[in-house]
Amino acid sequence: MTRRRRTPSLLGIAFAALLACNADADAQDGLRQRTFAATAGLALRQADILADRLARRGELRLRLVQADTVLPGRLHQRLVQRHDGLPVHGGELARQLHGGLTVSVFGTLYSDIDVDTTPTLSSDAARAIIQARAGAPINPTAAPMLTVLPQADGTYLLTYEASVFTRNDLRRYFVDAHSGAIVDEYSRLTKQGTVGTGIGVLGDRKKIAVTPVGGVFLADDSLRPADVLTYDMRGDVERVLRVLSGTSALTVADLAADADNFWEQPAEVDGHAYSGWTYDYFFRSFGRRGVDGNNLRIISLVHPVQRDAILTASARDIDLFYLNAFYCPGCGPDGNGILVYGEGLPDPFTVAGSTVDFFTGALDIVAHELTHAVTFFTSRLGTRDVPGALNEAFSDIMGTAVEFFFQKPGDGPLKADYLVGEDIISPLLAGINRSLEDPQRFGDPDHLSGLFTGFGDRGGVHTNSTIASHAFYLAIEGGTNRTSGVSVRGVGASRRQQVAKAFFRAFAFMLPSNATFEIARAATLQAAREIDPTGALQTALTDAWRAVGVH
Amino acid sequence: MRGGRFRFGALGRPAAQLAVVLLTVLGGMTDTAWAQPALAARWFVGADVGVQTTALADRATEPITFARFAERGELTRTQEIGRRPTVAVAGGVRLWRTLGVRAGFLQFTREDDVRVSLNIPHPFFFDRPRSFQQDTTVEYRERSVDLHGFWSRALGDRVELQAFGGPTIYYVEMEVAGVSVGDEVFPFEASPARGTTVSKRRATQLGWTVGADLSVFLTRHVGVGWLTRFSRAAADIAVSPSGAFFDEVLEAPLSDRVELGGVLVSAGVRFRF
Repeated sequence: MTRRRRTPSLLGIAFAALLACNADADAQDGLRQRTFAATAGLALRQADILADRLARRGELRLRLVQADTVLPGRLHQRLVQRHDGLPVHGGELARQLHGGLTVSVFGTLYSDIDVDTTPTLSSDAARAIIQARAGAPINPTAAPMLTVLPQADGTYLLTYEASVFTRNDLRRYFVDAHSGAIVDEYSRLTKQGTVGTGIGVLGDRKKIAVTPVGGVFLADDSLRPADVLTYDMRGDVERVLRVLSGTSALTVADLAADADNFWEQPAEVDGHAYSGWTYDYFFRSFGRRGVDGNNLRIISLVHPVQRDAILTASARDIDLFYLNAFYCPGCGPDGNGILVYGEGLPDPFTVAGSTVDFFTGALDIVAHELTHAVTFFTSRLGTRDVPGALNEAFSDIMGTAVEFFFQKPGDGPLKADYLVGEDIISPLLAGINRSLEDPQRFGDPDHLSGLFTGFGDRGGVHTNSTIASHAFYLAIEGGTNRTSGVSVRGVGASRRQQVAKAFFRAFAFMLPSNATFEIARAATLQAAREIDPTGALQTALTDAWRAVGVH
Repeated sequence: MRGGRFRFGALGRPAAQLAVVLLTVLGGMTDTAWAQPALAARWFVGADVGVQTTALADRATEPITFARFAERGELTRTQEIGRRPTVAVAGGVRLWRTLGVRAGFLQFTREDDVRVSLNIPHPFFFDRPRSFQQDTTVEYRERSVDLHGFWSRALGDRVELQAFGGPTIYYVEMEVAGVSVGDEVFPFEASPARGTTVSKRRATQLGWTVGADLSVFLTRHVGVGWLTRFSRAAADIAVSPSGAFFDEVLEAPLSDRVELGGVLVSAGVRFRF
């Protein structure tokens, strides 16, 4: 590196003078770096005079003047340090003015800069070096810029500086303008580090709201009004059981975490993202603030078991933690409920020939479970027999409504439809998947006459749910019930949200915990009347309930 | 060319009308006594109205992208030049034979329409930016002071040709359009942009000018003239929009080398003594 003969600069002389009389100018690293915090007296005058002199000499350049929005009449100048016309990284003064008088001067300046400002490396070469390191192109509007970079040992380097937005970070690089070595780099995302990106179960890229803590990013949503927390249980099923029973606390160390904020655990990504989306849906559609209406924290547990340990897992664990997702009301150390998402099956295991992926990979399943939490804090519908079926129906209806709210209608992965759990089961499987459009497709009843009255499935809560959820479908899309042959003229997809609103009002606020299908019908009709005075919604719902045999 | 795009414009209609009126009026002030040859006059003063080419700061009009919520946002400022007549006054004295010095002042002003568009990424979703668009105007004012030497030559009694050149000091005030961005509020569906902002940037720069003036004297002391000059300087001017939001999201402050001056074509009155 070519260096100039070091000569005392105005800054150096001024620093010496300042030090003699200025207690507010801190000496650091000999005489080469000075921090100013001048607010009164001689220190302020000296700093002000120095700033003016340097500005006249071109060693400080006014970058910004802003009016104070709190104290009228105050102006704030930002002066950046230059050396031979080049910016000096970190050299800046902030000067406050009132009526032309200086009120304060804060900042840091560097003195005795002895670096030659003629680079031997071209800007294009620096660009190539930075792009190779970052693996991403430099923004064309911010080409590598020659910058003087102060070093910790008091020396200075002539560098090229550029920022690059990589797939998960915004990084600033400094390349030695002579040797081409990258001499410094750091992330610039610290001020907006609450959004990360990740890959979901189906390989889709999505954003998640996270919190940076101590150099890592935690699955703790700090952007939504409610805390949305996703914990990685690392396959420790015994710990999961203790957490659910309230005998073991969840700690920050249990939160799903990622070092570079590009999340590569798909179960964590989808569980965290979809919980947030469901919160958003209830807020934006019904004005509801979280599961309890008061922004109660939402806790999700992922990886409750180790997927590859299925051969040694008990039947209970396979049923509960591999092939299921559930909301556990009253569970957890604070007794406010926890959501648990199954791990799915490792390759090549199947259920009746169907593969099962992480349960967080289906938006409708996550929304279904969170709706159970809403139900728990509202109507507290029972969990067996007909009240249980209505409970499940409400969760399926809301899960479907959430899908249509965030995804485009269609068939296949990540598309909104009237199937439940279709994104993680392949091929679709009776007993796990359900269809609101055609319940019989998976052996579920589409009419009250087909009500399952046995003891299994807690009195058929899942299978019987389709009687009510099929009515939801018919009220929107219309069609003919396969059992009754009754045709319904639906209100149309454009009014799907209105139908969902009627079901939300009815199921959350009007139903008693031991509701029947008839009560559910009456409540939804009442809700529809109040939402849509024209009567069209009520008519469609009346016909839909009649089509499924509920009068 | 670095720093700007030149745009020529036709002689402004008001300027042309003014020239015709001046010719008519001055033509009526007949004075048959043409005893004094053109170069016999020592002092002169002139006032002109004309049009000047001008340049936009490229970076003030190129899209600016920035990182926000793990995605790229974009600010665009589409600017249409709104030219105003340039006003120039000059005066000078012949010191020796055909040589002399002249001093001048010129003011060039634009009022440009700017359409400001800002797309801020959504914190929860890719490809769902919150958009804001609003129109505003920004003013560009260029004042210059000349101190030039000149050479002049009489072409008969009534016509005088003058060539001049020398340093010019520019004082530029350029307004930069931006957007005032407020706090983000859940559920983040609306753009946090509150309105457009205009920030004034100033620069002083030394440049140079060459030009020629052709004067036709209708009376002993009064005439009309046509002036063509080319002046040039370049100033580094910050073109980043102001505000805490852009301070936070911009990877580096943006500045541009703005070309000052340009080709001026003007006409006006001339007085000599």
